[in-house]
Amino acid sequence: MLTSCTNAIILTVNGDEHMLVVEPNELLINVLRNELGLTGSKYGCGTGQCGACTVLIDGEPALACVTLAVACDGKEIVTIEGIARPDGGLHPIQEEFLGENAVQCGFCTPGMILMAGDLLKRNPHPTEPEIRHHIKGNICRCTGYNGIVRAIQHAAARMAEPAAADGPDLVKEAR
Amino acid sequence: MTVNTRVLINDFTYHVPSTLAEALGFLDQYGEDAAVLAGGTDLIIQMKLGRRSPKFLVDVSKLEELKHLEAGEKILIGAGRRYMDVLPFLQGLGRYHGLAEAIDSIGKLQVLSVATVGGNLGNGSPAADTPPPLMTYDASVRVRSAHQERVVPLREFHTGPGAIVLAPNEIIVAVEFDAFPDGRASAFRKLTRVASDISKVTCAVAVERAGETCTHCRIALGAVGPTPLRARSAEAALEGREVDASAVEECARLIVEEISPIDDIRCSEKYRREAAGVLFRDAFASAWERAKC
Ligand SMILES: Cc1cc2nc3c(=O)[nH]c(=O)nc-3n(C[C@H](O)[C@H](O)[C@H](O)COP(=O)(O)OP(=O)(O)OC[C@H]3O[C@@H](n4cnc5c(N)ncnc54)[C@H](O)[C@@H]3O)c2cc1C
Ligand code: FES
Ligand code: FES
Repeated sequence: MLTSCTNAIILTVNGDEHMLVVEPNELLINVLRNELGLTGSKYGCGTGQCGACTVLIDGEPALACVTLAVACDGKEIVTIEGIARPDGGLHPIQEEFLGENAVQCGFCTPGMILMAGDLLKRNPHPTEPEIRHHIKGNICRCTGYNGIVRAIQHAAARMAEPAAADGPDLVKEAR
Repeated sequence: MTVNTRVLINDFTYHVPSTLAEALGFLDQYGEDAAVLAGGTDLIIQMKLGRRSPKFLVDVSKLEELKHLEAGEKILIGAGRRYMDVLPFLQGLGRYHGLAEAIDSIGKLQVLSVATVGGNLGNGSPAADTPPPLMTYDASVRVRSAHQERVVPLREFHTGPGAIVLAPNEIIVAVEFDAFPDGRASAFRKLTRVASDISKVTCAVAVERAGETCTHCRIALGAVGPTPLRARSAEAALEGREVDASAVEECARLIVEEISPIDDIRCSEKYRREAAGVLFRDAFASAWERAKC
């Protein structure tokens, strides 16, 4: 039912514009998952602790579980679904996560990959401490962090190669 | 009642004003029923946990009046500025290490990208990270209502756990402090349970030195009392005195006596007292060294 309390908003998600009618108390994570069917972003703790719900909002990593959808009117959101190549092929970071077995249950993986992309956009040649610092707010409860760190190191090396320049670019997609 | 943190159950009306005057008008109209929303990293969680249930949310994230960053005789930080903007601003100024270290210590980048200094003050937590360094800078909080503007010294701003002097119709506009004179320096240290968690104990120090004599000293701590607090007896013990190991030890002992920590889920009262002394020694050594040049 449309009441005076609903708000019409426009969200650009992974490059597609959506006109949505939301209640003020709807969380971005629920709109992405339930309304738009983008279930890649995971709902973990709901209290900002785990980072599973990480998305990029106007190019910056943020927690969709503590973000009101209505407050995102006019903003650009990137979720894990927006990271792969247009043809469905995986992004180098995704491939390296697979290659390093950095995924077990996969619940933390979308957030980890978005944070890895955010790091490599700012700092294409991160040290191991810099990688660990960047994913500090993302908790993995099964794989352990070593494989994740290695995957990010390999992705960094690959993306720094000149040939990677025409691959999908998290920077461009985030803008 | 079990809490479901996956939804927000209470209904509210959302306003996103584009001017401060408009925002203040809403607060004046709604009084206690309204809450100011900045980054939401405290407020939304409190609403999920059922600790707050405002009927109106006034989103201040679009207010340019809250976004000043100025470095002149005074350093002024707009309440609505996100940490990720404030940190490079401070790092660029190069002198305000204590506050920069406090912001940098907020582990989660997903929080730095949305959360604000205004929210850190507005939340009123005794464990918040920015009040102790700001207290060592003798900072003030600039506050506006539809009817007046007032400037509240930060040392009078917190009145109890989660309690501040702000009236329901007031908005924090900025926090400000005098630019450091030459030779003043600061540092911040904190202890947490894991990398991105609320502090167990924090300590901030600002000092000025003439050779080996301490000519100005401010010490503030967080999470060791009902509000962030200044360790005044310790400050008095150092100011005007030649700094040596025994002076620092005496100061640490005074701090341990002066604070009033509690036992909670993060650690015990006894641990907090011990840790406060350790953090002080460390923060002091760092600020003292920085003040040399
Ligand atoms: C995972 C995680 C980690 C965190 N780590 C830390 C940490 O290390 N250190 C730390 O100190 N905090 C930490 N926090 C707490 C929080 O992020 C900070 O307190 C932050 O500064 C709050 O800012 P905000 O803009 O999100 O505030 P909001 O949640 O929007 O608001 C907080 C309170 O302040 C009020 N308020 C906000 N702006 C104003 C204003 N301009 N005028 C009047 N009232 C206002 C609101 O009404 C509300 O009561 C963490 C939170 C999370 C979720
Ligand atoms: S679900 Fe958002 S941080 Fe855990
Ligand atoms: S793979 Fe299971 S939580 Fe990280």
